[in-house]
Parts: sequence; structure tokens; C-alpha cells
Amino acid sequence: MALVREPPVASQRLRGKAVAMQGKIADFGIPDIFQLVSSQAKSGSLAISGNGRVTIFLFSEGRIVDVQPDRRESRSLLGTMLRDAGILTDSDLRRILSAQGAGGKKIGEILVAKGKVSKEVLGRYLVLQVKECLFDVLTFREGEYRFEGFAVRPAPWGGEPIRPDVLLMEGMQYLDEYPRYRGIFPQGDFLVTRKKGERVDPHAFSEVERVLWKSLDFSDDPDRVFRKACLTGFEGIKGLAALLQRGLIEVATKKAGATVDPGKRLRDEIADRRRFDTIRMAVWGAAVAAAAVWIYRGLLSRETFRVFTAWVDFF
Amino acid sequence: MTRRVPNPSRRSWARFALFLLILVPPDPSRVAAAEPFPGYPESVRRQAIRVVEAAGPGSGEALELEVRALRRAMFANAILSMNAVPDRVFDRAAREGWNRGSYESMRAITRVAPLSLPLWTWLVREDVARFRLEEFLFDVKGLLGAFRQYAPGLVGHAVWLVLFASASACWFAIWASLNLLMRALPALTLDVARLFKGLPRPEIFASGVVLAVFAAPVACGVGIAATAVFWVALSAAYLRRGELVIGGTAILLLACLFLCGGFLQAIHPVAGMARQGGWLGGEGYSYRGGSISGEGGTGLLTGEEWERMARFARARSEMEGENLRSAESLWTEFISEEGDSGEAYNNRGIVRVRLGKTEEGLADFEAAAERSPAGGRAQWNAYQVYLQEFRLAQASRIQPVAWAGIRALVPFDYRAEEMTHGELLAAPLRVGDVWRSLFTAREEWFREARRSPFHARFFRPLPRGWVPSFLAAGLAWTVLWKLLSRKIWVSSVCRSCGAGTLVVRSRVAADICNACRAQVGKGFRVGEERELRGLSISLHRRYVRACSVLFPGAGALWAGKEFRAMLYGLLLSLSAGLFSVSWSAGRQAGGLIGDMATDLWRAALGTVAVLWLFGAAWGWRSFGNLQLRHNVSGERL
Repeated sequence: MALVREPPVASQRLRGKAVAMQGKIADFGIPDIFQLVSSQAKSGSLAISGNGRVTIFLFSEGRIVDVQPDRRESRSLLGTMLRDAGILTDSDLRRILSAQGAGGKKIGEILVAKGKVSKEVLGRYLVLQVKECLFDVLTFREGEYRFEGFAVRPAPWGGEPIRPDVLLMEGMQYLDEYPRYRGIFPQGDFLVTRKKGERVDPHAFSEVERVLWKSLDFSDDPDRVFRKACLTGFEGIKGLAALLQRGLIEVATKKAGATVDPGKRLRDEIADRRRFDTIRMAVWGAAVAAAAVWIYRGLLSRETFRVFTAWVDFF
Repeated sequence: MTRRVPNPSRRSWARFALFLLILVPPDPSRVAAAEPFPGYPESVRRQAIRVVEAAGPGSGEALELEVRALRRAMFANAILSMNAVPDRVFDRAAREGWNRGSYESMRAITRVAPLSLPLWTWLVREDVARFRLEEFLFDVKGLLGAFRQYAPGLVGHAVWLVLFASASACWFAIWASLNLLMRALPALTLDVARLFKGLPRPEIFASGVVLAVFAAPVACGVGIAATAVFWVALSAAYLRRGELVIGGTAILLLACLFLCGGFLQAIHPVAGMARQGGWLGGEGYSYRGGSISGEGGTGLLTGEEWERMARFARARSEMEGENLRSAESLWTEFISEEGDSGEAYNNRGIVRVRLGKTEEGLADFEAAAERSPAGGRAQWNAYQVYLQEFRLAQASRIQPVAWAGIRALVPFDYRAEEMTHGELLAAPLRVGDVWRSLFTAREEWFREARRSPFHARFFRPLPRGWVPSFLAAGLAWTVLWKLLSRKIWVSSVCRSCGAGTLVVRSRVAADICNACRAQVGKGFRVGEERELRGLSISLHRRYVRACSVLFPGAGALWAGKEFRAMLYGLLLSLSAGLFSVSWSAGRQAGGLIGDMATDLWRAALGTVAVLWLFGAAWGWRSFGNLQLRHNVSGERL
């Protein structure tokens, strides 16, 4: 494990005694728990369960250094996020997961070690993962929390530790504003594309809008666009709403069954291009063969040889 | 007794044979072909046949005797060389299977066919193959002498060179235009795709359009030269400077090809009949008459110079045919018009001595000696006449000059000590005159170029007279398009990875993309973009490799080795051109020329094959090295 728990054996052995805090969300709200851990600069893990899943935040001296989403919520797993962002392909992800299974390392560590992802990019996506998970648990109304105290040292390949109070501010904003922005767009899944023929001044965009506008080239699925732009769902939907109000994008309802696996789409595209190129080369091969016949008739036919053999008559 | 049943099939064959006998009368040309030495006097002809029959492996003495006899007969008729003799001997040797053992016989008959350039060339080749240095030097000397003495041989070699250069130019134009088009093809397709931007899959339409543009001239049967110019002009905007030099060279070579066609067309009526006894070749083959201006000019090569040479040849043929009165009048007429020809005086002197006009003949020899003191023939002839007239004092006075003079007449191998039967030496047509007249730039070259077979074959369907304008327009368009591409946005394809970009200004600065310059492999980004870049690299590599194999040298062009590729293209074209001029000759000409041409086309074909393989491997490797240098070749995709 890249995150070192000190002392891990002792903490496991004394698991029952190491619990510092435990209770129900209904009694003690999640923002309060985060603020408490942060203000007291505690180190350890905070497990929050609700809606049938468990999310674990790791703290180091009151700051969040990592998060472990529930395995059942694959959208928030780091590998899936990177795949949706187009940074990894399906085959990359499978290879890395198998390597992870063999060595027991974390996926981020493997990615950085293999040079697949830079440390900076990984740091940005880890922050995104923490934000997503925090916004998710903020929506819990029922459930339990459990904090276990132990020493946690941040991993060298991870990003900077995050202050929970800053995230909580964003989280509160999310809780307040998200339903309003989401209401602008169609219920259920939808697709978003750039409007054709619109003139755009990139300098008039905010930073989020600019990144979002650029990422619209990547996909028409808003979730993948947000992943590509490394934005949370809330930031993304807010940016899309701004672009929609300017009349720069078009929104359409996604038809049922139209969901395409991104890996499959890439594979299909590659296969399609290969097939097209092969057909093109075959057709060109036929054209070259025709040209060879034409050259033969032009330079190697009997009539041409007769022209080039005229020198014999001069001896 | 069993009744005999008639065999209908046998009867029908007999009827058919009878029908053929009646229907097909004896063809005069076949009869003529059966006669090995047509046109010569009977005594010469008979002796020449004896020489051919005496030749063979190990027949040195007998052949030598027959050769001497033939030489005497030739002297008696003022014949300098019978070029048909070595051809007939070699034909017989090939028929009887001893052509590889005919070296000694061929060497022996150089004395009766000293003006046969094929014979000397064949001997030189055999000397090289047998490592005979002394004979090699002798035969080279003989070859050079025949060059200096026999006009059609010199012209023949010149024509061979012109045809060889023409064929090589054609091959180079095809090689260059195809390679340049394949080099420009990806960028050209991208640019055409810009026209179909509104359609769902523009690359499909663009590929179709480019393919149609490529195939249209081929499908319409347009000539090779016209198509090559079209392809070069089409690809000009996407080429580097060195590649443009290749394209420009191809167009200039095609202009030379056009002029060569005119040159050949202009001179063909002059010497095209030489082998069959036309007037220019009359010195080596018997000239069978014909009007002076008819075969000499036929309205193509006009001018006093040609008329003069044709008259000279006619007078020589009358000498050889023993028509002495006619020959004398022709020479007199010739001298009265030209006046200053030592050769004509010498030849008239021989005719007059034969007619019994010894004093007049001697006067002619003296006049000839005055005009060409180093000529040797006139002194020798005068010396012989003095000996016959027993004017020994005069004979001894000019003996050293006469003896030394004929020794210098290479390749005739005259030996004064053996020439004791009053042999008189005729003078052939001066080669220098022919050379100067033929190879002085003439209007006919341009005028006849439109009627030449080259025009019809390589420049169709361009109307006559449009070819120079078309070539100039092609060259101008190439330059203009290149200059224009510095001002407008056009597509450029990275030579290393095949990534397409829109650029303005020079291709040379932009034909390696930034990612390749930075050696970032498949790119900074990972995931889908990395996969797609990898795919692009893979497809590009496949394309260039296919081009390298099909169009040798293409890979080197992609690797930026333009001038080395051009040199390679020239070598390949020269080999292919050599094959073009020798293959058909090897199969059809027969005799010595056919034998040598067969060796030539085999060597040329082998060279083409080796060069092709080398070019494919070189291009493949060069492109691989380019990709390695830019770090896009390490991983198998």
C-alpha cells in the first residue's frame, strides 16, 4: 500500500479500541464531522455508509489525502474516470488492473510508475475523485459514520492534501444550485454538441467554459465531457448551462439504448479506419496494376521496341 | 484382293501443297534474301561464299587462303569492305552451334570486312571475356579506325546513343512522376477532402477523386510523356525543393526526348537503308543503285552537302560494279562541281588506270596527293602504277611515303610486302562530312519532331506542334504552383508519422511535425489520442513501405534523400533504357548485333532487378531510420 498506516498491525489488532468517533448521520451531520476532523487535525479514516454503499476518506493531519469509493459505484473509481476521460483505453485499464491484482499496488502508483499518466494529471483527477465522493455523501440523509484514528502519510505520487472546509463550501453550493442548473437540461440522459457555424471568442469564456468548450470535441456525452475537462458534475453542468444560454451548444435527449461503450467506440473507429485504409490500398493497388499494364504497352510493347531498335538499320 | 481405300487426308494435303505452289509465286525479296551477297560482281560473290564456307573451328590455313583470294577480288573491284561476310559467318556458326568457337574465324575475316563495326565490337567483347590484352588493344584500334572511316557505323552508334538516351528519359519520367505523385498523394487527398467538408465522410470522396485523377490518363491511353508531366504538375505543391528538381529534370528530359524524335525522323531516310544497300552504307554493303536525290534526301535532308555525298556514293557503287565508263563520267562531274576533293581524284585515277588511261590516272593521283599529302592512298596508287610501267626511279622516290601511308590506314591492315599484284586503293566517303552535316542543329529536327514515332507514342493525344508549349506550360505550372503554395494554406503530411496539418510557406520547414521533432513518440497525451496517433503512424508506415516496394526509391524520398534518390532513379532508368534498346534487337537483328544485344539485354534486365531490390530495401530502411530518429518506430502497433 502506498498509504502507510502506522502501525498497521497494531491498529488492526486493537481495531475496537482505535475507533475515535462513531454515530448516525441523522444525529451528527456530515459537514460537522468533516469540520471536526479538520479542526482537530486528526489522522485516520472516515467511513460513511448510506444509500447502500460505503465511502472511506483518509485524513492526514486534518486534510483529505485520498478516498476509496464503494466498488459498486464504478463511475467514481479512478481507473474508470481516466478511461472516460480518454486517457486510458479499456485494454490499458485491464492490463493495469491485472498488474494491480498481482502486485497489490494502487492504480495511481502504477500509472505514474509506467509513465501512462503524469503526476500532475493524476493529482487533478484525485482531487476530482475526492470532490465527487464528498458531493455524493453530502446528499445522504440516512446512514452511519465511523472514524478510526491512525497515522497516515500522504503517498509521494498523490497530489497535495485537500482542506475539507474548502470542499465543504463547494459542496454546500452544489446542494443549493445543482437542481436549478440540472433543471435547464432534459430529464434523464441527454447529448450535447457544439452548434455549427457559430463564431466563438475564446477570450469571452471563463476558465471552466473554455475547458468545457474544448472538450466538446471529444464526446457528445456530458459525463465524458466533464471527465475530459476534469470537472465535477456540478461544475460541468453549470458551465454547460452558461454555454447553452449563449446559444453555443445544442442539447438533445439521448434515445434509449444509444449508450456506446467508449472503449468499443474507439475500437470500432480504429477498425473502421484500418478497413478503409486497406480497401483504399487495394483499390490503389489495382490502379497501379492498370498503370503497369499501361507502362508495358507504352514502353515494352512490340511497337515501342521496334521504334527503339531502329539503330540496327544504321549498321 | 483387298480393295485399296483412298486416304482422303493425304489427298487433301497434296491438293493444298499444289494450291500453295500455284498461289504463292516466288517472292523476289525471298530470293534476294537467299543470296548472301547481293549486288557484288559474280567473282567477288563466289569467293565471299567460299570464305563463309571455309570458316569454322580449326580451319585457320584454309580460311586464310580464301580470305586472301577474296581480298584480291575486292581489290580488283575497288571494294574496301564486305560487311555482310562476318554476319553470314556468324549466322552459319549459330546455325551449326559453333558460334562460341568462331573467334579465330572472325579475327581472320577482319581483313575483308574492316569497316564492320559490329565485328570489331564483337571481337573487343570476346577479347575482354578471354583476357587477351594484346588482341584487345589491336581490336580497339580497329574499332576506332572503322569509326573514322565508315560513316554509317558512326551514325549507327550515334543513333544507338540517342535511342538509349530517349528510352532512359522515358523510364526516368515515369519513375519520377509516379514517385512524386505517391509522395504528394496523402497531402493531396487531404486538400481535396477540404472541398467535401460538408459531406459525412469527406476522405472517401477525396480518395475517389484523387484516384480518378490518377487513373484517368491511364484509362484514356494518354502517352507516357504527357501523363508524366500531368502527374508532376499535380504534385508540385506538396514537394520539397529537391523533389521539384527531380520533377523539373523529368520534364526537361521529355523535351529532349521530343527533340531526339525529330532528329531520328530527320536522319532516318539518310541512313535507314544502309543495311539493305542504301547509299550511305554503300561502302560496307553493295549499293544497288537508285536515284541520287531520291534516297539521299527525299525532301528531308536537303542541301548541297547531301547532294554531294549522294553523288560520291553513287560513283563509288559504279566503280564496285565494274561500270567504269559511267564511274569515270560521274567522278568527272563530281570534280567539276566540287573541285577540291582529293578522294574523288584518287578514285577517278583508279577508274582511268583500269580503262587504260594510265597517264591521266597518274595525273589524278598526283592531284589527289597534292590535296591530301598525308592521305597515303594516292601515293600508293601512283607507286603501283609506276611499278607496272617500270618507271622504277619514280617508284623508288615515292616508295617510303606510299608504304608508310597505307600502313597508317587503320583498320584496313594493308601490308605493302603482300600487295604485289597491282592493288589500287579506293577512297571512301569522308566521315567528317557526314558527321558535320548530320549533327549540325537543323530546322528539320524541330519540324520532323511532330511527325516522329516518339510524338505519336509518348505525347498522344497532344496535337502536333503543341508539345513544346505543353512541356513549357508543365514546367511553368510546376514553378508557379510551388510559389503559390507559399502564399495559401495547403495540407502537409509529416514525412515521419503521416500526421496531416495545414501549412503555409515552404514544405521543407513543415514536413516533419512538431511531435516528431520533439521525439515524443505517439504523443504527450495518452488514451484515445495516443491510440489514434499510433494508428496513424501504423497506416503511414504501411503506405510508405508499399510505395517503397512498388516504386523503388520512394522510401528514400520520404526519408528526405532527394538527390540520392534522383541518382538512383537515373541508374535504374539507364538500365531499363538499355533493356529497351537491346531486347528487340537481340531477338530480331540476328548475327553479331543480335548476339551482342542479347548479352546486353540480359545484363540490363539483371541490373534492373538488382537495382529494384536494392531500391526497395534502401527505401524501406531509410524510412525506418527516419521513424527511429523521430521516435515513432519503436513499438509494434
